[in-house]
Amino acid sequence: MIPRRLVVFAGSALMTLMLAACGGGGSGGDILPSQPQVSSASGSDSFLLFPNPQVQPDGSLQTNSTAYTQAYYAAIDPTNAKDTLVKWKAANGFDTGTGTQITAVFGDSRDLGYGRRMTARISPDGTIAFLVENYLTNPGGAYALSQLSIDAAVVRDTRWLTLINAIEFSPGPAGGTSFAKFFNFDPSTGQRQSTVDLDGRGEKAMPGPCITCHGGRGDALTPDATGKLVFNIVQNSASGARGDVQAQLAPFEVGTFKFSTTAGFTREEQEATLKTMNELVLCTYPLSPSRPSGVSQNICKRRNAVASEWQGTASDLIINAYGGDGLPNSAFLDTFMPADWSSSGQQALYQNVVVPSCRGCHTLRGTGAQSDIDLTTFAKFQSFAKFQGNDYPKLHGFDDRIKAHVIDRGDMPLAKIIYDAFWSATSPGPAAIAAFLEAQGFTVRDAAGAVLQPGRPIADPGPDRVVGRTQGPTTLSAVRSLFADAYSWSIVSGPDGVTPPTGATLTNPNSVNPTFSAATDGKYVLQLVVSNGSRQSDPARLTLIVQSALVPAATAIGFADVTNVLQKPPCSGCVKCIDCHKPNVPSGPPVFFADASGSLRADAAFYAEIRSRINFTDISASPLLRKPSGNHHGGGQLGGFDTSVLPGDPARANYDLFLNWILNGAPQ
Amino acid sequence: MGRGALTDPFAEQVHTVWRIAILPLLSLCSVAHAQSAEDVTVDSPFGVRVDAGYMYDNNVNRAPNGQQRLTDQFYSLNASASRSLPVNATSRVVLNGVFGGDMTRFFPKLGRVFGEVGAAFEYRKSAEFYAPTFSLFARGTAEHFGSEQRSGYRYSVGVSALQPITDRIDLFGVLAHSGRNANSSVFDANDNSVQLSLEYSVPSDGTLYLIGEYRKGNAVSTGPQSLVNLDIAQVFVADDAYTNPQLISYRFEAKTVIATLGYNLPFGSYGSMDLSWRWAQSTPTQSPNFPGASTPRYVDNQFMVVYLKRF
Repeated sequence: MIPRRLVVFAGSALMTLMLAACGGGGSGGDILPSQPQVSSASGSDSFLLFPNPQVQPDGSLQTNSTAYTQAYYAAIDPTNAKDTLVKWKAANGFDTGTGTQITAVFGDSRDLGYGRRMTARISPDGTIAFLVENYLTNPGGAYALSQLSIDAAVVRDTRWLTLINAIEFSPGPAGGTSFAKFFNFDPSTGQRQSTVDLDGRGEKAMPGPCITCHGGRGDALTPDATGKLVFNIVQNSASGARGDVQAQLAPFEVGTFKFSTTAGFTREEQEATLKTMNELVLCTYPLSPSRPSGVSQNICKRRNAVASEWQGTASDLIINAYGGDGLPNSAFLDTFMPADWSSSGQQALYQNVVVPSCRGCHTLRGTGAQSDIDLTTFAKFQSFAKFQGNDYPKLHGFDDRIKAHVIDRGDMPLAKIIYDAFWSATSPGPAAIAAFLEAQGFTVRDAAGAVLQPGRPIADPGPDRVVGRTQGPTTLSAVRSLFADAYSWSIVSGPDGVTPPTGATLTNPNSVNPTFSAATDGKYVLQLVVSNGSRQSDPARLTLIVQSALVPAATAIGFADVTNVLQKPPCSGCVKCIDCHKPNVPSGPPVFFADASGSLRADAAFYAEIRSRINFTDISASPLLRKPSGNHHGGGQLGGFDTSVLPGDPARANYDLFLNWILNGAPQ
Repeated sequence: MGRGALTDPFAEQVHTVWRIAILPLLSLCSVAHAQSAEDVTVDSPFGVRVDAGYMYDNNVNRAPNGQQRLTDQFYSLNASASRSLPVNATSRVVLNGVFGGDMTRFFPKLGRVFGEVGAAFEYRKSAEFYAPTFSLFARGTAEHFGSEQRSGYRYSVGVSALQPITDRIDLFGVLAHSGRNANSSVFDANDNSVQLSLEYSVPSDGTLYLIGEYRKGNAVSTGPQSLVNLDIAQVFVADDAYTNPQLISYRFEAKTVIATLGYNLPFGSYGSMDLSWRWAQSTPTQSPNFPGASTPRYVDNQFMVVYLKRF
């Protein structure tokens, strides 16, 4: 009997378990507290990387490399005297009772999404330092600021302490003029970190993610006399120190912050502290003769700006927000509208696009020599959106940078939260920028009228150029196309008016690198269409001017050919590049081609500095091509750099030379 | 009916053995229901029992403070059947099965249907009155809640001992391990517990009982996202049972103390009415990670009335 009953009950048990429940094992909604925020790729997913990341011959990005970080800290801290948080705090006098030290807690909703506990101090020697504890308490949630992150910053909940950043405004290792230095420390160990992941999109090499949006330059490393790669000396900097990348401290835009409701941490209760912080930021800015100091000399005395460096542009915002010079108002109120934007009737564009998406970074950029990039006037903004027309001769001053960065490439806005906010469904930004670009002549809408967004395939057949017919077939490249994995090249027209042109061939036309050959000289127009799955790009055209032979041949152009252009007047009485790109020129540029004697540089770093001005991710955007062509160049357009005419035209011979050198890999 | 008068060593345990089933069910994360498993049905004419109960729970979401607490009322109906299978003169196997369900007044997704099977191997050396009864038991429950996250399986295994102290007082102890596997891992809870109950048969034929339990293992609470909650949480999920979509359920490691005071009153033929008050307090073993944070305590009170009828 027992076995039979046992069998009956065992059967009942099984039936019960099978029928009464639907299983276990965890659901998709379960979240581990250690789970990071969800930060998905968008745009080109190159947030906080320089638009010119300094592509190396092996394809690596030098500004996002270990070598870059090592060179940076070797420059600003050669003895590793600040390689831990403890040592850094001690070096900057934290918690010593000297100087002035203040702390504020707020949520950074616009830029990085952290709850931030910011401690600022100015030491008796004038050194200014900001230490930022960043709290991130939104496990498994979308990448954005959460109120819990602010709460965590208020109570200093170490479980959610994600990053510790620090900025120090102090002289370099050899003394001299102070400049901003950037650090990142491990919250657990306190060790200085060589990488940082500020937005959930992966670790990036310090100080890149910081200085990209603090006005810093993204120059390539240069070899010193021993061949060791070091940070270059930015020639128009006041400090003249390696590691001074011309990055600045950013204003505290209090109106964009979120605050806790906890007593002691509300906006009202912290307004005075945040004002003091803004005063300390002002203290770090060079003072232009055309601008008020803003800050009381009881706090600091701003140094006078070197004529060619950044002119403290961001001080306009801070001073305006506190009621003008002397900062009479206690509360930050951002009603700042540069006069030119207002008088141009572009208030909406400024408020809907520039303020939320551009100003935070761009206000820290520009130099005394060339400040278009600070976007402080509508004309400057407009100068980055000049449509050239579709056919030669094209318009002078072509500039598609806004369209390229915002609509096509998706590498602006530079910070992920700002980027995502710009393209959110409720953002007025896309419509505003589209209307602006359309007014400039650009096409930025699809057939249905929707604003084009980054992520669609973009065909890039490379810049129009001149090629030598007898010097071998021309290898084309679609590698700089965006969001594409399939390629289709075709020849549209040739000099004989026949389609396809007689004697013109295109081998491997569905490859990234087809080769083009022509039997006769003349103008050939090719077309590239790229696709990604079912999405196909608009066709992009490439004009090739075929000449019998180039002198020198494209493959034979060397660095000496380039420097020869730099030191020779392009025409009788014309200004040479090295007339301005040399030391001791007021409002001079940041890059020197000549030494103190006025002769062409011959140092080991020269080639690297010239190569640094090539953007191998977007060749036509290279400063080495754009500046002498008259784009945002203090010297205007130089002889031999007229891009309005067809390649091969003597009026653009130097441009063609530079371009073919670049297309050949810019060999030394 | 004096104890120890029967030759069957398991006679006269009808008022005590079912306690073994109650105790594991006093879970902080379960809807408590009245007796099940090994039960008085062992001694009923057909081995079948039906019970209907009502429970008021003043902190159904196990929140740590008054503002976050939610209350609810549960109505339960269960039917169980048991069989006693003698092995030899000193031991037997008791098999049982239960089907039942709960309905709630305010949060319908906390309602459930369940099926349970269990087995206990009992040993009593002799029929001598003071001879203790030892038991090895195992039980499995499959349950389907309105809340998909909570649906899944439970099990409990352990040992127990019943020791008559006098002819009116019994002492009953249990060591148990319980586990749960639910659709959401938040509700995958495991714990080990020790229980002690004291039962007094009052002269008017009712039974007064007091149960104490200490449990170490997982507990689950539901509340708004807060630093304290997330700091102690092992895993959390946006809850699917409560009407406020911002609530999360989170599992944490805790020490739990449970006390139950009850009275079982015979009610008609093979029937009884059971009144009880249960108090439970869980204390997380992990503290929040910031200075000045106090460790939360989760306190719950349940008041139950259950009518049991044996057939």
